[in-house]
Amino acid sequence: MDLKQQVYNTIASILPDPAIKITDDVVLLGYDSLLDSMKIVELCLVLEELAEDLGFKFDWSTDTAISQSRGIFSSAGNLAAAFIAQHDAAKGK
Amino acid sequence: MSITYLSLSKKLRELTNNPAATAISIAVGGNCNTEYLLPGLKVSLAEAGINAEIKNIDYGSWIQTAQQNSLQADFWVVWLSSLAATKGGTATYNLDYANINNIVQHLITNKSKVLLILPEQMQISRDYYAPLYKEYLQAKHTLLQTLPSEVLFIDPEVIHTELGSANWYAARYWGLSKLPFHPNAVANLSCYTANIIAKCIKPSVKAIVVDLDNTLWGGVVGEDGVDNLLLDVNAEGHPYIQMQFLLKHLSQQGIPLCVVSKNNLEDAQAPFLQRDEMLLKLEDFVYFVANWEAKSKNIGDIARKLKLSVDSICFIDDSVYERTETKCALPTLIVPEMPNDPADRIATLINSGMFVIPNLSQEDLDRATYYKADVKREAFANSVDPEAYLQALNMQLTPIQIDPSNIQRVVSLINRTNQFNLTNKRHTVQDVMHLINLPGTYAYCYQLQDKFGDSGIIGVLIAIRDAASMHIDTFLMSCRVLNRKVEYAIYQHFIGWARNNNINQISAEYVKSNKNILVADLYSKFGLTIIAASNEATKFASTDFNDIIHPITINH
Repeated sequence: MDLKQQVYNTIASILPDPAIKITDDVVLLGYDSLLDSMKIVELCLVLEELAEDLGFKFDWSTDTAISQSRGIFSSAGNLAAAFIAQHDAAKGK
Repeated sequence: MSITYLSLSKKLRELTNNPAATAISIAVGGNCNTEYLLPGLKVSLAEAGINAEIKNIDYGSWIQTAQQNSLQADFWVVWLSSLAATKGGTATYNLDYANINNIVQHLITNKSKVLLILPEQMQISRDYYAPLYKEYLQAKHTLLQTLPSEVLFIDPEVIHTELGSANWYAARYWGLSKLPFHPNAVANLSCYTANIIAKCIKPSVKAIVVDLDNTLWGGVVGEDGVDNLLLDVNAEGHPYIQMQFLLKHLSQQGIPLCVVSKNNLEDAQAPFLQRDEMLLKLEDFVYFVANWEAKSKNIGDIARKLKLSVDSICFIDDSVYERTETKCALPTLIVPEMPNDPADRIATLINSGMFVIPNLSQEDLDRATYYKADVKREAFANSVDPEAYLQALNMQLTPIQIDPSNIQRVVSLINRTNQFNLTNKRHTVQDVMHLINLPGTYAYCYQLQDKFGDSGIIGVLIAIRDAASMHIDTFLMSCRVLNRKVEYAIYQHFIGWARNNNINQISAEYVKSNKNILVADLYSKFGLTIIAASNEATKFASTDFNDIIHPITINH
């Protein structure tokens, strides 16, 4: 399974309705988002766990992390991209 | 780390409704984001057999909510975070102590129990030389000193110490969600808080039975001799003196202490009489049993005399053989494992959490005294004719209407009484307030006194009126006063009231539980007729309000 799909599966795993399909433009934070503030914390924790399993430390706490327009939580696509970028950087790809 | 936020969230999703659970309500609020306490509170309380309805109050608005009385709850959990009070560790503490005190007092007056989570040590205030350290200590000190004594304080440092700073500080979660520390640490804090709440409702340990040799002193008195026992607090006797200090403290909290020792009685009592270093004295014990019988038998006898079920008695013994013997014979007995090194034992007992006693009413504090009076009653009962015994006790029952002044004791009895409990209904303060406000309700608790002393409030009967009939919703009595015909006097007061209030029918119910077989035929003894019966419950009714004979004077 590719890394992007793993991130999407991780997001789906904490949703109350597992049937919801995660796509690049799914909004994660703010108005119209799938996740409330408690679920965002859960998401951070499961992604930190996933990264640990993959052998790197996922840092989601960048200056703009919680920006609804620019942050990595603004959409599922942005989050997956940030996760993959940090994974690749840690692995020297 | 034992508990993670994710494991709690998973358990929360899988939680199923337990209809037999005790129902309580909790309001959670504070100056930070408190909703993250909810999974731990809900799950841990459910695991303790408590169904908590929890309302989270929006960030920063708990004072306003409490002032407006817009949320009634049995418990209020108030979290005052250092990070929130100092703008994330960038300003001096902003806590309005006078206002907090007023609001907490207001909540207590409204019969809520208040648990206050004290400010946490921040990463920036690492030590005395760091910013805000002195202010942090001052904030805690001020809250501890100024808030009412009824407040149950939760110190996050308990969890911080347990988890270590690496698993505690997580500034990124403050930025993300206004969480003062890592979500896993919050999960542990919430479970710890839930444990305190659970202990308020269902105290796990109601009596302690303790061994002597190598438990209260170093050495074996019968072999080493009284003078050679290790009791020097500045040397090898320290752990044993510390054990005595802990037990003395628990005794002062109302937990009755008993001794069960394999010894000759004279040998066993000698250190208490001859060694000045002993913190515990003979008079600290309700029962002192020293013989050569199996300890399980002696503990079983003590349980019967204390009228407690074995599952609420804790047995402390250094010997793995004795712990195994008692646990095999009495599987529900609470038997903490004891490290071989005496120096580690106190930490093991304290960390187990079983001796958390947060609910210190005057009744609780007096409990050990009540038991000691029971020992005198027992001796008296053995010295006179059984028929004459109850008369000679000169018992006086004082019925007291349930009101805000006694409701905590009433609710405590309702939630703790298992054996003499006809319906096993568990009520919160709010539930009882609702019942007593219904028109025509009979809602009394009863105080019992006799020639040996005051037993305090020992029973509750609540009956609800429907036209000209009364239905008994709750009828229970403390097991401390069993076999004294007190229940007959209580029922007598109730039917007297019913006669005076033009009632023409009484209905009641016995709902079977694992522990209340004792009262299965109580209503039949009172002369009520069975009108329906199933495996789970028996329904009764009566239109006969004749007086019942009993040996107790009822004070009106």
